[in-house]
Amino acid sequence: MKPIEDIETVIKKKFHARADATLHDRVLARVRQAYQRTEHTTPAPCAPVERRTFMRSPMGRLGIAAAIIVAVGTGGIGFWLSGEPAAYAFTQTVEAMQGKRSFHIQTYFGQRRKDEFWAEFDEDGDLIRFRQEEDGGPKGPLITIWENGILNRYSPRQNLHQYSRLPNTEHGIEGLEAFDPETIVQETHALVEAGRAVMETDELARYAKLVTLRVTQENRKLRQVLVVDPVTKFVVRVDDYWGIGKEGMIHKGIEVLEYNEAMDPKLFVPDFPEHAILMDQVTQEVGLAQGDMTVKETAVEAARQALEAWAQEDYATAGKLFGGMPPQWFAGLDDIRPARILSIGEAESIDEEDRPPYLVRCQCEIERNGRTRTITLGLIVPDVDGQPGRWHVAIRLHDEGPADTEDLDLDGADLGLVQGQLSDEEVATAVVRRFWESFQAGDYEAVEKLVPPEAAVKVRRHFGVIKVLRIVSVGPAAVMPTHEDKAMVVPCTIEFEKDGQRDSIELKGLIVQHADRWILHDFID
Amino acid sequence: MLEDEALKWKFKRGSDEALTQIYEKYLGPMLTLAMGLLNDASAAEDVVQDVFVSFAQSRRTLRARGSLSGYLATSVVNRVRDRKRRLGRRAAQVPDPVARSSESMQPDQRVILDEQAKLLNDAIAALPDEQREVILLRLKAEMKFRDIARLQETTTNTVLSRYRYGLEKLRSTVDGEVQA
Repeated sequence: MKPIEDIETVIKKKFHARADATLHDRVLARVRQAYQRTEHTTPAPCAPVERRTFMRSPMGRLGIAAAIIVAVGTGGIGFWLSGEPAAYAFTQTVEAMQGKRSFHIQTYFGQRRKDEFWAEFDEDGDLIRFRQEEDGGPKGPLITIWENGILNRYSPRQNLHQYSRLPNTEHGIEGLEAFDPETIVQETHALVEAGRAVMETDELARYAKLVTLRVTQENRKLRQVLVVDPVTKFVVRVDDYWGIGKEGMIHKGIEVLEYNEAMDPKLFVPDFPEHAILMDQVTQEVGLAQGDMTVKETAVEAARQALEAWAQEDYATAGKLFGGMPPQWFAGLDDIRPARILSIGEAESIDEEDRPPYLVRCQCEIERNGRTRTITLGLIVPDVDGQPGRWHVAIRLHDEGPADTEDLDLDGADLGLVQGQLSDEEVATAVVRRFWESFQAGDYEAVEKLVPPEAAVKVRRHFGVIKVLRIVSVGPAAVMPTHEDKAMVVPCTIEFEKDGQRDSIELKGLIVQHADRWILHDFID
Repeated sequence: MLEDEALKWKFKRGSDEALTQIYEKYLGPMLTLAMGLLNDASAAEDVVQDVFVSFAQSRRTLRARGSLSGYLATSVVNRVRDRKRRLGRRAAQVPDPVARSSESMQPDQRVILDEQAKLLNDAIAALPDEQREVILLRLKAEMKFRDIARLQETTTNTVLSRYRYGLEKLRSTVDGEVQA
């Protein structure tokens, strides 16, 4: 036999499975049966889904009025009043939401306002542009603007303006779908259809202005409340609740402030301060080309070249390897600038899977206050967005050893929990509880806000592979007498799922006081 | 693609003929995809049946945009993942004494693979799940890398790496065994 030159062609042409006549006919019969049932169970026929708009222009209002008349005429609106099952009625919301051309939403975590989004879509539902104002997170507030494949992101705390390429995915950019009411509605509908969630609604008053739908997803202990406008069928609020009882409850909400409103174009124009540090990945080639190297070899080489250039104060070269950073950025890092590179580590995976981006730990000597010290710099090496085959370096952590924990710079970092009127025991317990609750809710920003900045990668590495099912117990806290700082140990038991297996673990959280704040430093088995 | 758009439009309007045409066109590719992902003919049958039944039920909610092939392939992948999760949990309790492969298929099987396809199927089955998904979605469902990335919740570059590594492994496994 000949060696295979083109395995792609072989799979395309030679790898086929087919059904025999029995299987073909049996499945087709069931498929037809299911299809015929849609004839009997769906409401009055409506037009094939076309993108519709409900702009608040006079023409738009006319359109809404016409839509109401048609709906009433065909019985299409009646389902809300007739006591039909909620899941049945919900299909109309799924359809209607495909008419959205823009949204303006506010998200909440508990009672706290979190992110505000403005997004515009074209008639096919593809994202045109969006703006996000993030309140908080480990890096503080962030403003993100995306249009036409270009991302502008500004961090006021770091005074950093990231300017990079980020391609559009199917209906938007990665991650936006988690906030898009249309996607949320589709996912909920799919769960209900698959029998993995139950949807209920109350008997409605004839002129109810809003309809509340409650969805219970048993296996994930998630309860969702959707509020729908019965006229437009659009969902106007979504609240997700995880956990059981008031104590363990996590709440995330999305409130839709506007649909299909004309948006001020200025919202999508970057209006960041001129003196912001510009990380430019658009007008220049940055990072290191992979060439014939493996990804791991590239990561090590990029880390080595970046540190050497930085040590030699060659900021033009270092800046490109650090992802397009200007010289002024390095000025803020002078206290950890390598004077001598002692070793460059191997490329390590940051989670259980052997995949990029890799972490490269490098030992360096630095000079600070006339003293020479040895530190470990952890450099993460991701690929450059929009520049295929190129990899850049970013500082993920620097570790100066336990003796330096008192140097932890928390000025303005807004980390951990403030003690306020709480006792040491109470605040330490609250830190651990908040950590697991945030983790369970998938709110990694909140998780990272409870730990020192350099521990964030460790947290993700250790806990990113598990799904927290239940916080079994937290506390009581006890003083840790041997620690140099004021510290508490808080025991906790967590039930989790990993690779489809349920398990539980008992851990002890080490909570250390820094000024008026308490931070989670570590977990001990 | 235009043909698919027309079929989708008719399907949403209740055309039984359009449904049948979609079924005839995509049964084979989806069965191939499910076989490749599961390496178990009986499980692949179940998955494909579920996918088409669910598709038929989606008449009123199916999106107007996006490719039919991508939609069906995504449904296959999601069901395969669900099945593996369920089996993973069950396997932890009661180990399965017989590992299943295309070799174990009975002569009266309803899913048919010729000899070369069987060899390829076994080689594909030896790949890690994520590489297997990327290769099959790309080559059998003709999905774009960016759409596969979305499905795998990762970046396009990672998907490209998985594709390349997977093909390299396949090439070394099947070289000499399958004719080009």
